[in-house]
Amino acid sequence: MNAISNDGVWFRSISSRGISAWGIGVILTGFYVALYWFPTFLEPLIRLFDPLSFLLRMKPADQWFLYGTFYTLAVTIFGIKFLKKYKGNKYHFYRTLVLIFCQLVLAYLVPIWLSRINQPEFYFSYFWPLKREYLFPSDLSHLYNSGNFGVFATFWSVVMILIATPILTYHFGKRWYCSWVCGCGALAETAGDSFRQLSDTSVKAWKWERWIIYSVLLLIVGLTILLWVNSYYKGEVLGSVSRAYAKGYGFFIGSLFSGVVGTGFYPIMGSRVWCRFGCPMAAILGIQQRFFSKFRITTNGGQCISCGNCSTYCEMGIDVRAYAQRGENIVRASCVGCGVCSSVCPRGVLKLESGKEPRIKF
Amino acid sequence: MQKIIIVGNGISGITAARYIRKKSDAEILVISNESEYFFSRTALMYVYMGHMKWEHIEPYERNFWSKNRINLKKGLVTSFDFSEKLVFIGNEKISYDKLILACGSKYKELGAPGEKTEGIFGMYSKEDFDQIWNWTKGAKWRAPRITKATVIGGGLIGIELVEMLHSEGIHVDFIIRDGSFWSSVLPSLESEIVTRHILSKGINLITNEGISEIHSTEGKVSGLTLNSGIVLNTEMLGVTIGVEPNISFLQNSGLKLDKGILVNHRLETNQKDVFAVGDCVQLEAPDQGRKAIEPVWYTGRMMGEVAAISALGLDGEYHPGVWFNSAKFFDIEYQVYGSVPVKEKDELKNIVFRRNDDVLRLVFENDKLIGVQGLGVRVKHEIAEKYILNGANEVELNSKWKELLFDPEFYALPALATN
Repeated sequence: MNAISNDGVWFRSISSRGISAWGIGVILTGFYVALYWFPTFLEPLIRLFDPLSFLLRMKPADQWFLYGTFYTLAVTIFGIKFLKKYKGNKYHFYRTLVLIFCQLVLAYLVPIWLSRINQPEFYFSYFWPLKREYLFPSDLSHLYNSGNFGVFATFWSVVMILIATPILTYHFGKRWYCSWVCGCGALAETAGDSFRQLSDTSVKAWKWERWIIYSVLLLIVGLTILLWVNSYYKGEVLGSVSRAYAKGYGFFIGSLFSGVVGTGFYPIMGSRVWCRFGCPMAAILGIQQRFFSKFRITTNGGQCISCGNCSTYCEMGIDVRAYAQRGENIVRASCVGCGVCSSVCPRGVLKLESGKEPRIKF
Repeated sequence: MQKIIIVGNGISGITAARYIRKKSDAEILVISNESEYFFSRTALMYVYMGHMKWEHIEPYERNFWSKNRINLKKGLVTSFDFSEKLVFIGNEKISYDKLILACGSKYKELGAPGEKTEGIFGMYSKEDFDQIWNWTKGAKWRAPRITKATVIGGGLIGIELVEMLHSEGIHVDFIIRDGSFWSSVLPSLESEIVTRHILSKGINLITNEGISEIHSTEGKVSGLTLNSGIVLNTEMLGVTIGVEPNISFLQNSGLKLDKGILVNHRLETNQKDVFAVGDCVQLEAPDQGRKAIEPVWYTGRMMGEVAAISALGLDGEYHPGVWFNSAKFFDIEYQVYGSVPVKEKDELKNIVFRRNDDVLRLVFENDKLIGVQGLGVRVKHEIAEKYILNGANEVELNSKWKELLFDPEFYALPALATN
């Protein structure tokens, strides 16, 4: 069993909210602001990617091509770095390879290829409510009416959300998505790995987390219902209201929260700010994981020495130690099953598993 | 309402306090001179190496104590009056109804000539930790104030101190008494694997040696003469040859002492309403297979629970059950359950499973399981304990040994070694 070295994590400026961390935070945040609202600032950068864009898409680059390329590069390069750091750990090995594959192939090359053959640009690795349009009436009908592939994609979307997701989450916990498939998770696990220790572990942060994430979930469920009602009445009743609602959600949650804050604040608040406080997909999967899943992190009897490595390196800010030192299993809605608590434990106390026995001992 | 004073805020004292609060409304006061708040002693090394900050090794949020009405006081307890039920912090006196002593260990000194010089440290308390930090850490990480250090004593703390100093970029000479690392406890296969691992890290392991004299220059340690006559230069000496109960301040207090504070299975001392727990304790009659002094985290925690029960007059005795312990030697995890003797005997049979340098060892005595040990293999506590208590035989474990494993998902099974 190989071990991970976290030597100097809290001595290096970049990983301990030092000057370079703030610098990167400002650059990342600035990049997102430009990307969403002032793309002209990125123009010179975008033009640099024209050759690649012509090669892949036979058209000039735009800001979204630039973003997708950066994103995929980050996941791949930092994914390889992650594989090196956690070398010898089989769980991280398979998980990271799958993450890189999902981002590089499903969320980058496939959509590009689809648009090149004049099909709708579809992302097989994203689902409602994270990819909110995938259950919006207008987008769904547009997809459905765009030919055979569109029908298949619509079918995929609905089946994944309503059938596959609950089954997979029942068996494996939310990790099957959040730390094996999802692009946001992929970035957090790879580029964000150096910042996982910055997540706030306090009980107070946990309270905020629950309020915010379930509010976002309500907002998106409300929005989706509203759009369907509106579509049923052919836009006569709530046309302008639902349009404004959708626009507001897109601005505040889609861009500001998941983009600017979610990624821009990595070096300050840790790598899973969006996943933990905002993502409605994580909220739904979390509720399932908490109440209807076989997944848990088990604690190895009395071997915990309360050292705190697990809590410190939990990117979701779960106080893992609080459970481990009492010999309790960890069953938390927010756990994305990244497995790092188990890897950093110096006494072999924690194990991710989908077991048969009861999850909580009384 | 009765008032319970606990002297010492380590794992045993704090566990006692928590359990007293769980079971009663008694007034609780914890006195410690070491730190404001309870911290995980075993995690000090991770703060030194930069894996965590100090706040991370405090297992409870700071409002936990007031929320649970556990009063904390910083101060050095100097003496007691057991007949008047008083604790003295210098001139200040505080009365109690029940007293729990949890005053821990201190590191054993070498007893070599020249030991009273600057730059010689143990590695047990926060004070030791602070001293090592100040002596070795420079303005920046990996720009240490010293370039060369020596650690003597090849036990669990010794190797941790070596790892700490090594992580800072300090060259370490590691002197051990045995021919290979911890060979008094580890079977030779495991001992050799760990020894190779230590050497692969670039540590200068010096075996079969001891220190006969310590040299100093301007009051600071500067060199060592080993038993064989070899002279080493050094800028720091870590002394990790073991710990002993911290009881020197209790001599002549009226407490019955031997190597530690003597207690029975209720953790009662010879003084009325005075209990003792953790590293400072010596059991008058330890259970079979257990030692009178067991200065480890786990026994401290278990004793804390019993002391709480005992002090509250509830039923319960200290019977820790099957021995277990764990450690980490640089990157190699180690867990043990029950008894894994080093010496070969006719009635003992060892079955060994391997996965490269990972070793799972099952020890049978007269065809009954008495011990399980994992080196780089995680072993499930409940299962190991169950099979040891049941004295499971080899045939039974042939089909069930896989239940013992606690490795992460996707790990290959260790394979039966044929030697």
